[in-house]
Amino acid sequence: MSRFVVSGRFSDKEVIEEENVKRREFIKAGSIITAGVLTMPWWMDAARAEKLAEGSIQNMEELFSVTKADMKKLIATAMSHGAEFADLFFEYRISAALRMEEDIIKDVSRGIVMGLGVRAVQGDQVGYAYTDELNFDKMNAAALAASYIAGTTAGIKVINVSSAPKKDLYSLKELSVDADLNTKLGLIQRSNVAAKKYSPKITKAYIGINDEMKQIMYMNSDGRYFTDIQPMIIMRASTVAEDGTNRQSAGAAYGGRVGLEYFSIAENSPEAIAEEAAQIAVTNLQAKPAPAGPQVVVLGPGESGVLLHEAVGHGLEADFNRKSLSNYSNQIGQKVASEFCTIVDAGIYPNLRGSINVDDEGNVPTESVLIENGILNGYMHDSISAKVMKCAPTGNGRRQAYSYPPIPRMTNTYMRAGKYTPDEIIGSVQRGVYAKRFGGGQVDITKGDFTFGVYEAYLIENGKITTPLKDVTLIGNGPDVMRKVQMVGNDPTISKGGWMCGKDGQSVPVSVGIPTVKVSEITVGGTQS
Amino acid sequence: MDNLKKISDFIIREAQKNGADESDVLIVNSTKASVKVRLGNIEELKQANPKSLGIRIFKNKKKALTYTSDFREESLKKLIRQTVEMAQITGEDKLCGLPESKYLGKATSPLTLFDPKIETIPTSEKIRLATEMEKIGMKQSPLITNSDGASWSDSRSKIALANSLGFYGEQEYSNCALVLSLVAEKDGVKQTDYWYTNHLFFDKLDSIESVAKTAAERTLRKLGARKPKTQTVPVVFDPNAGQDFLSILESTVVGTAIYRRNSFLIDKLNQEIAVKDFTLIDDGLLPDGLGSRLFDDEGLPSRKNVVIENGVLKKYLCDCYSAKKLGVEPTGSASRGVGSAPAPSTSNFYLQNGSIPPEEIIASVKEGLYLTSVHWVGVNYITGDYSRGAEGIWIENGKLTYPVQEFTVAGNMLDMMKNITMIGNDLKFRDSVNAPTFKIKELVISGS
Repeated sequence: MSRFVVSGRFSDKEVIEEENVKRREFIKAGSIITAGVLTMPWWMDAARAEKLAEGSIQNMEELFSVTKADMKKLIATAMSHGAEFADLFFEYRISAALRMEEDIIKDVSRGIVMGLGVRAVQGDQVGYAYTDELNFDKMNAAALAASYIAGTTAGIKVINVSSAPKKDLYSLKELSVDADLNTKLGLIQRSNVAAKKYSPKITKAYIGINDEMKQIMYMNSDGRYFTDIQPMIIMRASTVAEDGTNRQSAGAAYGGRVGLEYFSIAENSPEAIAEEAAQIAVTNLQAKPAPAGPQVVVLGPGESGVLLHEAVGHGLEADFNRKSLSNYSNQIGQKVASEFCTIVDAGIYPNLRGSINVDDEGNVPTESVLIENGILNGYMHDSISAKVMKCAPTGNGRRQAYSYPPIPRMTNTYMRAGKYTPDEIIGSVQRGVYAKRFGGGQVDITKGDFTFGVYEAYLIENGKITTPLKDVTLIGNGPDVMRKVQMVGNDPTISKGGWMCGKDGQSVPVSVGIPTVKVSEITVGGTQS
Repeated sequence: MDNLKKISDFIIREAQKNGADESDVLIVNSTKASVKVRLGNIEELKQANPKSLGIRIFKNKKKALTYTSDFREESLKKLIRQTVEMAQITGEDKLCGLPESKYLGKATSPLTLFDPKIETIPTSEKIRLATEMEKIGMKQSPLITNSDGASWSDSRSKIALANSLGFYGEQEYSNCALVLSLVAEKDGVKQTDYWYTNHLFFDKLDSIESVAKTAAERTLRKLGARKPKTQTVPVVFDPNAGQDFLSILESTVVGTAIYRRNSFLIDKLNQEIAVKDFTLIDDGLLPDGLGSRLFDDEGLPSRKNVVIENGVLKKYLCDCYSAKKLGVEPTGSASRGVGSAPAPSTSNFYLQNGSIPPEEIIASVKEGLYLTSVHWVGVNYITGDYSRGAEGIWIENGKLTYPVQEFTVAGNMLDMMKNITMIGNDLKFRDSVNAPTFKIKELVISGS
């Protein structure tokens, strides 16, 4: 069932509650390349770690009662049946949630998840076992279970450990999971007040903050060793608007790998989140049924990037390609999109959801140009696919948690800027649909057919955005739609939303982005012929 | 600590010592194994024995929840102290708390949910089953050119639920499944589909031959797909598409969605919202049901709830909190993971069987759509507006003709339920949500 990959606000019931989403972070044309210098990084050096140690951060070796020598022994066990590669992934994660409903803080929760995942690899075959027991014997039993993927016995390999290069893309003052609950409470209250204030039509508001701190320690049989501390926070507002019997609901959420100080920036404020949610719900009270059939579609900046994620991104994950399961298999060097499209995946920008200092198998993320001026340039790799396809790893080997092996995943996927202003693009459309905010999407990798739910959309008439449209669904074929891209805007934007991407039963946080884009035809699933 | 009863007693006692008014704990301990084979080679072997527990504390009508996989006594003591402290941050909510004692209990049903045989199956046999199944699937046609793999997975879970009112329940579940995904190619276009079998008991799984053949048929029948024209036609939902239809009701018929006013089913209790033949049931005690259990996640006995009876909405599925909010009785429908608070959910949710053979339903359509698969985006739960990306087979003169893709099917759930004109007699309990084939008078197809 891995052919269907989904992303968005609502990938499962839990996600509906935990990971409602949102948008928008302006990165000017061209500056996306240099965004790395916008925030001053600090290194997670020993002194820093010690300072933070009073909070949630743990000494991983102490926590799991293992030394580097023990880790080498575990790797030897994992390779004891002849595997050519093995790795260990220790994870300690704290997750917290605080939620207000009906003006009452109804829910507060905090959880600790910790464990070790052991992988043994032989060619493209993977043996995987994990344990949450904190003793060497249980860990060794897991390593032995993983080892059976290989069928022989082999001598023990000597591992010389070296640390992976260090950088810091998260740069925050304080881990939000260690912040005073009253600070979070204050943010939630502000958002709740703002939602109600936006309009008397807002009858319900739910405001929540979900955050986590994920600490990882990794070692592999090539001697690579690293540790990382990955923060994540999302604040979301959901509102219901009512006007007589007419009701609509909408949500908004902002966040990233940031601390609570993120919300003190005006455009990320708790009020801004609530107002965005309220605005969509109130607007949609006036929405009219959408037209059915093929339409000119203008994709708004930021969130529409979910289209790239589905229509292009998943098809370019190397596991699908090395197995010839993707509609993009064996097409490197070929034209797969209009010449206006340059699409990139890069986990290297500070504070974005998909950004990581190092991927979950020790490779440093790169900026992968997937499609350049319409020509397919390359795929996103994990270690296995890079080895099998004889390419360099791209730092896209990610896993949801210690209980899963890494697979090729997107990080931050976006389209580079074009030359038109958004007004020129909208102005060029006689009649069409403007798709502004998305609920999520799904793609069938093999044929390339995708579906997107758009939950804020408007009619374009004579070059102007007019009537709001109800619940537009867009459906099409990825390569087909990418060939129909006619204009690309000069307003590249990364969505602020809390996007979660699901594949093979694993969810990972990602970011998406796109400038304003005009597509000559996408099928709109409305009811009005 | 490994004995579930001992751990839960310890936690309830510690919570009381730390000043909790009430508390409960859910412990889940499982064993999982899976095998994935692709093109005859083993691709992945996975094995694990994860455990976790979730603690809820109530104090002065305030509450907090914590969860952990660290069962060491000192760690638990610290966590319980933290939980009691955390509860102080929340607001007073008069309705929160454990269920009233009168509601607590277990169903007295001879349900068996655990198959000891699964544990005795050696990995080599699991590999053989997956390998054979893939081989049979690939052999069905030269047009089948690739495989996305065949997999076996099994799990055994032991859960324990205890609360400070004295409820203690333990339940053991097993599950095993086989899945096969195939790829077929014709005229340069690839198509893929899959099939599976999933059961509590190993001996009740469908044979690998039948799974392989169905996976192949479903993949092959998509070759040569066309994009249909935009039009309004009758639509026959196959059991797969029907399952998706029910999953929308699953999200909107629960008490939480109702009190939050986030459902198109609010203010509809005891009203006729569907055709007379439409009876929708949630049965927590269905024999062999994948969602069956003797008690819910708040410690209420499981039961059979008739949600819609002959077209009339009879009840919302509620946990104790949403029941209090709505002023109704709880329905034994609470469901939670260790990291989340109980919320109402379905167990074995199904549309009652009709009387018409599915072939007759298809034969009744002059021109229309046989809907076989829908994508998950495109439903507005608050208005019931439905616009799903879809796949299917076109019906002409009562016969299935060519496959169709790249279109949406749109309508409104409330209109659709009132326009179901035929219900099939082919209900099977393959999953925890199940529907027979049914026909809706007309829906808008948005294609070329």
